[in-house]
Amino acid sequence: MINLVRLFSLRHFSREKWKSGLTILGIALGVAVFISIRISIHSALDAFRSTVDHVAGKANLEVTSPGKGFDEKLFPLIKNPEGVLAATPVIQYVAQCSPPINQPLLILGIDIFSDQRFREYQFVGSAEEGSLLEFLLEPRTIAITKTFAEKFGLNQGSRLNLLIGSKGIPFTIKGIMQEEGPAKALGGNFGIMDIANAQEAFDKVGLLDRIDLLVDPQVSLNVVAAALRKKLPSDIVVRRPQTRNNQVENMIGAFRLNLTALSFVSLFVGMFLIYNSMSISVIRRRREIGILRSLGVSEHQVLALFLTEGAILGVLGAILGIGVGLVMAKFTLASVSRTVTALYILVKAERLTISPTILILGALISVGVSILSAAGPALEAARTKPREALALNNLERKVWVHVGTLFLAGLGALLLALIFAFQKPILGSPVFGFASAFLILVGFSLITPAGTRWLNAFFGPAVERLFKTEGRLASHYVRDSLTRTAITIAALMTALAMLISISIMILSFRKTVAIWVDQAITADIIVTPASAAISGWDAFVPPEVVAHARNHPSVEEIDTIRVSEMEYGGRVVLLWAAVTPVLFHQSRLRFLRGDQAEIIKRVTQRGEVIVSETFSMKFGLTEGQDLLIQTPGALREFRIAGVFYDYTTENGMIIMDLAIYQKIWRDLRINRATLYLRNPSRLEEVRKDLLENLSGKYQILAVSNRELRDEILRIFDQTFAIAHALKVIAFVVAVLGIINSMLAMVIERERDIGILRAIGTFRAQIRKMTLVEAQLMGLVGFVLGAVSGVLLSMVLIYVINKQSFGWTIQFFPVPSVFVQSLVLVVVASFLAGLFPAHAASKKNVAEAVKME
Amino acid sequence: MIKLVDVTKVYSQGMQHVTAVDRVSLEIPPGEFLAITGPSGCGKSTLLNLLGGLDVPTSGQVIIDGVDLADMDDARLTRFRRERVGIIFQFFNLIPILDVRENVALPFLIRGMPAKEANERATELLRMVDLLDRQNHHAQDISGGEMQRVAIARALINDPDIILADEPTGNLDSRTGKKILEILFRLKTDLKKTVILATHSSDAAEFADRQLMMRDGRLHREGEIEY
Repeated sequence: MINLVRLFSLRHFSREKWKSGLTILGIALGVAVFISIRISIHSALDAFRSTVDHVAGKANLEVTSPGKGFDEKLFPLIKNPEGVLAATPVIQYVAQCSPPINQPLLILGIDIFSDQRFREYQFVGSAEEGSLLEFLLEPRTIAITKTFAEKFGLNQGSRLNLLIGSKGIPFTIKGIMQEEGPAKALGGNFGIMDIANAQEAFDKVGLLDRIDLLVDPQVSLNVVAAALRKKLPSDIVVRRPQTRNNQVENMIGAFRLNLTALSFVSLFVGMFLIYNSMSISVIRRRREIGILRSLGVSEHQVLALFLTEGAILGVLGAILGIGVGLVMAKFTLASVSRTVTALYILVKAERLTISPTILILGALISVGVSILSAAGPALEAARTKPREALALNNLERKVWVHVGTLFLAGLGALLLALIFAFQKPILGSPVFGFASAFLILVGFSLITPAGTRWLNAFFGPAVERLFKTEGRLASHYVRDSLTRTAITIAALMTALAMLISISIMILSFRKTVAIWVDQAITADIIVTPASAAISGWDAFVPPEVVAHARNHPSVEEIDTIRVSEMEYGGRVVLLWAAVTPVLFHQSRLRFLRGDQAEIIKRVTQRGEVIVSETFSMKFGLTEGQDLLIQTPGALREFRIAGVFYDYTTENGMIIMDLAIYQKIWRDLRINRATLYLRNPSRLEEVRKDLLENLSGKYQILAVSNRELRDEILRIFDQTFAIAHALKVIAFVVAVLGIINSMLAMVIERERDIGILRAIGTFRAQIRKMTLVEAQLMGLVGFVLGAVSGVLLSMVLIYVINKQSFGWTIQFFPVPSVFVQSLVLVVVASFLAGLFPAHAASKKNVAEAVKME
Repeated sequence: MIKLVDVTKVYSQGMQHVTAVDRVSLEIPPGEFLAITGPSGCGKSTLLNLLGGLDVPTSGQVIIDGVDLADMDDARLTRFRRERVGIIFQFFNLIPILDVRENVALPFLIRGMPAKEANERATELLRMVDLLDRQNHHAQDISGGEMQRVAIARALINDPDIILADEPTGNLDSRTGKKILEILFRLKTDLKKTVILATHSSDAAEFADRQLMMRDGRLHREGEIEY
């Protein structure tokens, strides 16, 4: 068998270097996309995990109150239970460094004495225990990492200005840490300070974010946790530090699943490339196969031979794909990291974490997909009867006969896709949705031969009128070489379907969000702390700022909003407390169901809450039902008055009246103030007035409605940048398919081209014919791709996205998507046809017409 | 007038050189039916390819009506083939994706002539070769003899003055072959075409006005070579 592979397959590869090279490149791109996406997500999660692990140190249990902090008086209660060897209080805060550094800095406020059993800090130079204690005594001192210091030219004694909430606070650097242990957190963007300093600086006087515990390894963590829970109020959580990792993995689960699914598209398109390449190869080598069969090579050996060829392509594709994938991952990591930070949680992933499992998985998928794609042609080869070997037209005729059967099978697949589209998710995952999308592509691939015949008959006369005889020949070739053209068109159709569907989905989503922004965010000016982008809901607007804005003569109404993260059903959701009469008066929140006036009345007057659509979907709760929320000291029931459309967060959001929140949570802090002006044309004047009067004391941002809208859409575009890149790669693979297929057809049609040249066809006419054929294939692929793309986009919007994220996206089949795709296809198929057209026109006539 | 002056064609592959046509000189007056006979591999097809401008000689001149084909660029050579030459191959060389009438009309169509006129001419020629009833059949669905008649019709559609027939009966039974030769003979007698027939069959060569024999790339008058 090895000899057969060596003599038959390897010779074939080396004889057709270009064609083999293009096929390998196609597979490699598919593998590269898969690997780069998986490694990027893995690296981002790993960076987060690493930060959690480094910050946790030796702690094996933590006491916390997610999103809010808790009273430091609880510390003595926790300190000495049985089994706890040590406990240390912690304040954790992500501050923003002032310009020009502008970087996030993860700061731990620690009790230097009790912290020593948990974390080890190694200081650069002479900073010993004594000098370390020094910054305990001095207010506003900090220790940072060597990496951070070197990156921004900071030294011991340098001043570091931090934006904390709405204040800019200068700190003196008292220590530089080696990047060891906790100092590795957030890629070295890490600092420590004394806990009392931290409480004061971060507006957390009397509060703790966490108590780290070191539990005796001999004692069960669960037993200690249970004992602690009994002692503590019910809103305090006792958990393993690593629980946060699982939460984050859950949080980005849908994002990861959808991106991974998207990364398979190129591989799927690549499968057509392999199938096409292999089937062309089988047809071209029928004579050789016949000879081998007549020399005693068995059917099984022929089958094994072609499967081995598929596997060789897969292995070579994997080797190249892994290399390219690792390079691509450097770029995709930045995008994935930005998206995870913008949508979910701060991660600072700058280094790739290369997981051998992902590489092995990529290689296995490459080989598996290649063998699977080669299976059909390999079977065809194995079934070749020696006496049939010279009859080239046999296979072509078979496809003609099978067109009807394939068409019916395609309709069956589409029917199944329709049934799947109406199924519920499994464990919150749109398994049937993905199956439905896959079946649409399979269905249309099976319909492609019949579709090609019909569309060719439809376009053929116009093509003939436009391109005369060359057009007529091109149309004939598309119709009569269905074994090749249909597969190429199916690959192109698949890539276009993905391109169009993803574009429609993204643009529909964008338009939906834009409409939502216009309706929901109607404030003229939104005042936030300057560090809000980094510190999130841990940054507050000072009451003086709110008071100043409230008293401004141009301000008609003001809404003050407190947002906090809370755990609900194992997920982190947003609790949004607003002055609901103002909110409802000014914004036009849209509710899924129910009477708007009634809902508003119930929220503003009866203390009920409204939840976002995503919340309702995730937790299966809807209007009229009660929501159990953990409040300080007790679980409380809140009746859901309505479910509203919202695109703020995938995990869900609850809106309640601020007065109720403040009463129950005893928390008067404000995260943002939204200002509604009497005369919106005076926006700049009011903004200037606010900033000028408050800038001396506070670092705040006063963003206009337009700016916020633009920022939201910018984040949106940034989030989907990677999806655009992936669809383009899938399209490139399809274009490789056209080039490969056209080259193969040129080789196969060498004789026809020779005859045409012999009877007086100019080289330019041969080129034209080949180019028109490529264009016609592109056009047929476009029509099929557009129809399947629209169906696919509906599955993406109404099934996959809805079940994954819970968002209702309005369907907008934007015409520009189709126009752009058509232009892309015309240009791409023209470019793809150029080289084959050139090759065709250069054929030696005398050689080509020879029969022997 | 067709004139070959000391024409040589050498094929090279790596270090190997094969002289397919060796210093051939020849004059063919208009309207002559010339048969070039000889065994397989003697260089007949290569000589016809050189005459039809499908290939270029390594040395020597192929002169048609005073114009050396070597002086023509690819476009002029193509035009020459299109307008002056009709080629008939041993294996018919029809385009399998086209039907009979389309195959015949093809050389006319690629000149940019109107489809209606092309169809009329194709119909006329198919009537001449007695294949009108097969005009809508796919090229691959007709018999060998019919295919060759289609090829003859195709060769005539642009009304060329030179017909090159490379073993036109080589792949046919003797009865069908005879029919084809009769048609070729009629081209000379009725249409006054110059017909150059390459064949290994002495029976086929009997139809010609003059017979020349090729062996190892050299051209001899009949009877010059002893077997």
